[in-house]
Amino acid sequence: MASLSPRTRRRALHYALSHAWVLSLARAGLGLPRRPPTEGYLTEAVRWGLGELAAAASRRRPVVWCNVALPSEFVYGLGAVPIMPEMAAGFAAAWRGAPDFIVRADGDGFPPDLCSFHRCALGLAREGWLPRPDAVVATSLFCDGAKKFLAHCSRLFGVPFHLIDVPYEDGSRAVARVAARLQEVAAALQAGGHGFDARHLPRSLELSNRARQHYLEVMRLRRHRPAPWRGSEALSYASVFFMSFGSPGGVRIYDALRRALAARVAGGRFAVPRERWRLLWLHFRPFYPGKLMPFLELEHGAVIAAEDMSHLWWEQLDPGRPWESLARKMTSHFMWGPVERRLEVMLRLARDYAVDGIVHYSHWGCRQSTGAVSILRQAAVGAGIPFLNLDGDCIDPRNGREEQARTRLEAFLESLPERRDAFAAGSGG
Amino acid sequence: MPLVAGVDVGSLTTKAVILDGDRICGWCLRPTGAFSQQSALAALEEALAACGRAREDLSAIVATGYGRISVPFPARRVTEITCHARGAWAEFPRTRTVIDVGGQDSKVIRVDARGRVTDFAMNDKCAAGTGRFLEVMARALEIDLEEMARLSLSARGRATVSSTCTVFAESEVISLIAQGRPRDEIVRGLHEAICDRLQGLVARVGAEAEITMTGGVALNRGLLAVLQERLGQRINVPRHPQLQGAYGAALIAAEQAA
Repeated sequence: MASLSPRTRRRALHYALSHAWVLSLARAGLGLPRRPPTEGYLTEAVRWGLGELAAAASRRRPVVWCNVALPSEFVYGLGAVPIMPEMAAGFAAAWRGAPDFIVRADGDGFPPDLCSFHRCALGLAREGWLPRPDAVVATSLFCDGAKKFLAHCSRLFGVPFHLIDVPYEDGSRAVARVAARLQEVAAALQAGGHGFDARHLPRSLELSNRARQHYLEVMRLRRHRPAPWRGSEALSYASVFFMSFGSPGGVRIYDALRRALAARVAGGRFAVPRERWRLLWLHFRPFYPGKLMPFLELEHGAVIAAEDMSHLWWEQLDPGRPWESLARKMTSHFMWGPVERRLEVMLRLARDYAVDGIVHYSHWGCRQSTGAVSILRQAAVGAGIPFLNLDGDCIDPRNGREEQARTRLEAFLESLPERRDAFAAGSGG
Repeated sequence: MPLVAGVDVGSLTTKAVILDGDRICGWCLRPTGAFSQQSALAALEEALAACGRAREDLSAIVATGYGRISVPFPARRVTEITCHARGAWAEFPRTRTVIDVGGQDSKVIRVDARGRVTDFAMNDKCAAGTGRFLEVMARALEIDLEEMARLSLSARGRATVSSTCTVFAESEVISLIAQGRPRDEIVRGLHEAICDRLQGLVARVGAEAEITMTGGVALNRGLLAVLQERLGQRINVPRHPQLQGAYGAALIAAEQAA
């Protein structure tokens, strides 16, 4: 961290001090009245995040670096802390530090068209911002760049690298194969020392199921019109979504969120002052601060009612059959396998959340998502739902082109009534 | 009939059109320069002066283009995509596809039988395939834009300009000049490169006849010929293609005022 530029350190400090959790802690410290307990999901998220970081930094629990598609229940089930460098890149972007980290990664010889999630994460790793891993575990879900990036990290730190290859086609053979591989990796990790212990697995799955129940209710509440939660905020919780299932914190966070949204719906407090349009957002959003999301949701009343990346796709896990359950969660991932899976999810979410349009954010360098855009677009248009593909970058604002994105979004919103009429008249659109 | 205005603040030029009923009674086209707010105001005042009217006479103003957000007078803001579609359709009502090549972006817009936008695609990431691209290349070749069109039409061959970046393409052009490649072939190659990009955008939204081209680049007959050949159909060109966005904006203002 000592080699970090003063600008990055200043930004990190500014981000930390400007965040709402600091105000919450200050209020508590000064004895001021607390916010209503139903709105405490941010506090719970911060408490969980800091707790996990502390456990990792103090080496109380072993640390596994992994990509976002590895079920966090697997890592918690081994008594370890999951660190997802891709999600850490999102935090770096949020405090505007990503460009500095990306420049550091460029020094390792990575070409600029490699995903900025990975380049930024590598910069974070290089500068010691992430707790040192005891092992690196990658899955073939759903991005090849992540596997290579994580393999690079394992070499960087001299720790073992394990790959869990998920077959492209779902089915009982695929589940059996992944389950066996999960067991192999778990055995290898336990044999390597550091305190990995698979006896935590049933408890981890049980906690995941409890969080899942809360999250299902969150998804049900979000169907309400007007929407009780802004999708831009939901996408900001991507790290929580990917990393907290299987931990006690995950249960607390989603219980608090469920209660917060229920209270909002009951009290008539909604996400935007005047909801005009409802959108389905595909893939991630830009994580750096900018005008795009406020422009969309607050200025134009176009609320992101649902997102594919934060919808719950897996079935209840069986703590009695942990390996098969986790394998099923992985093999059924909607971003993996035939594109029909993602199509089905897109159309189902569009229907369930009664959206007026779909926006796909094509993150620079992300082939696993952008490769499907044409098919997604055709399916959306065929179902009478206007579709916009928006090119940009989730992490690197230098590649974001905010003004261009704004014009495209605005034109898309201007054309929504026309597109709906055109479809109703049978001319497509 | 209400008097209305459309102001299109683009990256290179600012345009204003005053509409008295369905008649254009005044217009102005001027460089945007570094101060888009001043430019917007000046364009509006000059267009009003051209028809002997004042700002107080206006019932509604619509601002469009990249500078629409910061115009220094009360105006409704509508994107240039909607405005170009409306303007092109008003002049050619059978238009179903609009190709607009502006200073820093190019776009292809699908419109329905009522001139409403049903889909669009825009260039991304760089200014290759735009008016700025042609300006830079004309400077490298030391010719004006009018001569570019003439040279392209008379070319017997074409140079290959492979780059998708304006800056790199300029170096390619300089290399081609150094190799002694005839200028008409270089110009033709540049037009082909722009049309490669436009054709890609057209394919994304689908080319439905009739096609109308707007923006200043539509005046380049050399590029128009290449594009017509590529798309296999005739392309309508408005009388004042640079004004089409402002004209569309004024039409939307008229609807608002009605």
